[in-house]
Amino acid sequence: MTEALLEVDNIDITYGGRSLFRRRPALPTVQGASLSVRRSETVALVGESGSGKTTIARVVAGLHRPSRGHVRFEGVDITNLVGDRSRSLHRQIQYVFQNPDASLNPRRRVSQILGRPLEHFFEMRGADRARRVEELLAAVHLPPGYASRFPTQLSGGERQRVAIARALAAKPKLIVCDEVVSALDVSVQANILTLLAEVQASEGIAYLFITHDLAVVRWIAHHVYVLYLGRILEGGTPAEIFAPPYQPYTAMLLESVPEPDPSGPLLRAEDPTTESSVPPQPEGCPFTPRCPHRLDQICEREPPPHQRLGDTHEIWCQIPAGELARRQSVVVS
Amino acid sequence: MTNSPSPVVAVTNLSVDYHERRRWVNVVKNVSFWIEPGETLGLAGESGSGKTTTAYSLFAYRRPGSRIQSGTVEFEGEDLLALDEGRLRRLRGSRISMVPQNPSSSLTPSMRVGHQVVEVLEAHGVASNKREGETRTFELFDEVGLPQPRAMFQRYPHQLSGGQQQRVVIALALACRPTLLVLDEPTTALDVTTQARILRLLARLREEHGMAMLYVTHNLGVLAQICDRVAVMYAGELVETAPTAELFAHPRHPYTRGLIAAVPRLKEPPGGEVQLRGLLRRDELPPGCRFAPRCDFADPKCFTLPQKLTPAGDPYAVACWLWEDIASGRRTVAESSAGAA
Repeated sequence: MTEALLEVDNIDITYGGRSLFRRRPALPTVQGASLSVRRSETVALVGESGSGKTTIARVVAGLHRPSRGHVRFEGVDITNLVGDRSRSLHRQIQYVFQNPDASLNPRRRVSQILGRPLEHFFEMRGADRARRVEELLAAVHLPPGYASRFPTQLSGGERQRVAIARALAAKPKLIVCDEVVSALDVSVQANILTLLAEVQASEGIAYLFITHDLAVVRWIAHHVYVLYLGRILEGGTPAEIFAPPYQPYTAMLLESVPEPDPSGPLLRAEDPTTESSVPPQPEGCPFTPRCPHRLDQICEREPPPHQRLGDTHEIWCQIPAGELARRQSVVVS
Repeated sequence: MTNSPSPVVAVTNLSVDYHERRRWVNVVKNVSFWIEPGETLGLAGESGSGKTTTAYSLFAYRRPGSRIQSGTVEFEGEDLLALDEGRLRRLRGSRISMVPQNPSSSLTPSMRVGHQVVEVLEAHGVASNKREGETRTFELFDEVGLPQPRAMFQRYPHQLSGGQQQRVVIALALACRPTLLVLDEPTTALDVTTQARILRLLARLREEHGMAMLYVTHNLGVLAQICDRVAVMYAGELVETAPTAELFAHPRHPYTRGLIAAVPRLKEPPGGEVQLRGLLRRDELPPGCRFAPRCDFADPKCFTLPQKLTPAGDPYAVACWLWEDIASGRRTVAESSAGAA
């Protein structure tokens, strides 16, 4: 993996910590997470609220320092905070967030929103800048007339296109997409995903794509990591992730997808036995309380062991992959 | 349309306008549908389709600056639109209740969740005293799958997860055993795993209580799981109604086909042959079929010929004069003038 663009190497992330009111350091929000993103590739980080997926994005962004481990970009350590990063690094990693209402200044016109990074990173002004703004709008399929509009005059999907155009303005190598389609209508989601794929093909940009919905990444990701309460539990290509053996949490995510098929598995699936989201022991597998295959006395205490199933496919689970495959039926036929 | 055996609710020719920039803009046009006892009807459409406005009409709720131009909403034999506020207040929350999209904004943040349920029970006279209200609340919490109902009773909304909050809201809605439950995007703000559990809960509650439901969402994938019938809405008009299995097996309206194709799925890439293009633009609707500007099958005639929901083999109805040609493959995307994106 020498050609990795972004490498997250065995990081722990802890919020809070020792203070006047807390004697013991807080438990890590993310434990031992490693992932890598190669050039022009889409890597998906999938998990539900509280899984730590946004926390990992914050570390990549330099908004938070991991308590252990390193983050490297093009082989250079960037574990430092955002204030210590160079302008060129800022330019090369860009972000698009879930809610374009909150990330676009409502009092700036689209031309100003897109013009700012052009000025900041490339010192573009006047006609050059206006021309580039037009190009960026064209790249996200918005008419040039939109330059003079305010974000409030656009629909949710159009605002998200502006947010993507703003990220593109910096000519980045990596865009961190944090739940970029979850606030949009499904019809608009499909359009935005197509747009992202198109931009990737033409500009060679890599994405770290964060979402709670496996179905969204099925067709756009080159590699998928499944995260639960701060631990990566499975990693692999979509073909590997979407076929048995499934890590038990991945199986639950797959069964939860509401496909446009009245005979789908969603209603037939069993609810987990307990709703508790607190792992019984900090070292144990965090998914134990909801796991239908859990082994008593073991899963809750011991960290789930790493099992390598192929060059790119790995799971973390006490149950051997062969045994999982025997117990599980195919969710996606 | 109204030959069903005494529906719980029947909406007939409903038209609603909003007051915008000093003029009236039509947002719901001639919408008619009914829901039978114990039946779940799905109402699907994109933002701006008028689906939420239609759902709120089942409460005879009028947003300030809106007017009901025409139509009736018959609930248990009475036209809700003709009732006075006092009567409506007694019906809302007891006979008809609602689960809105965002659970955190439908709960009072400074009040323990248990007391919020007791309040509803007392207001509608279901519980005569506090003790009775509390006992009933524990039962309700247990029914909607909240762990440790007694402990939950004492919690404030911010101490609950999104899924738990939505369960409290469902408990509130069920408190008076309504005959009709209206759900407006109840799981859109939740994780997929939480959404799946809420859907399983609703399926179970419907089985146990036999209440009728109207489920409103932009995601047809969700409706496929839970509905008996689906009505698809576009720009204020119904464009297709069909039993769920039939709708997904043989969608008749091009918009329905597009909406189904847009659902993120595991089995095949989204979009396929019929990806929805463009956006619903209310200010640019043609006099004919409102979907024509985005339709890959559209004919020049579509832009001028208004479409009405018409029977397309009982019990299906579709508002597209070309549906048979499209279904049989006689009309394809390629031959249309507006095709090829």
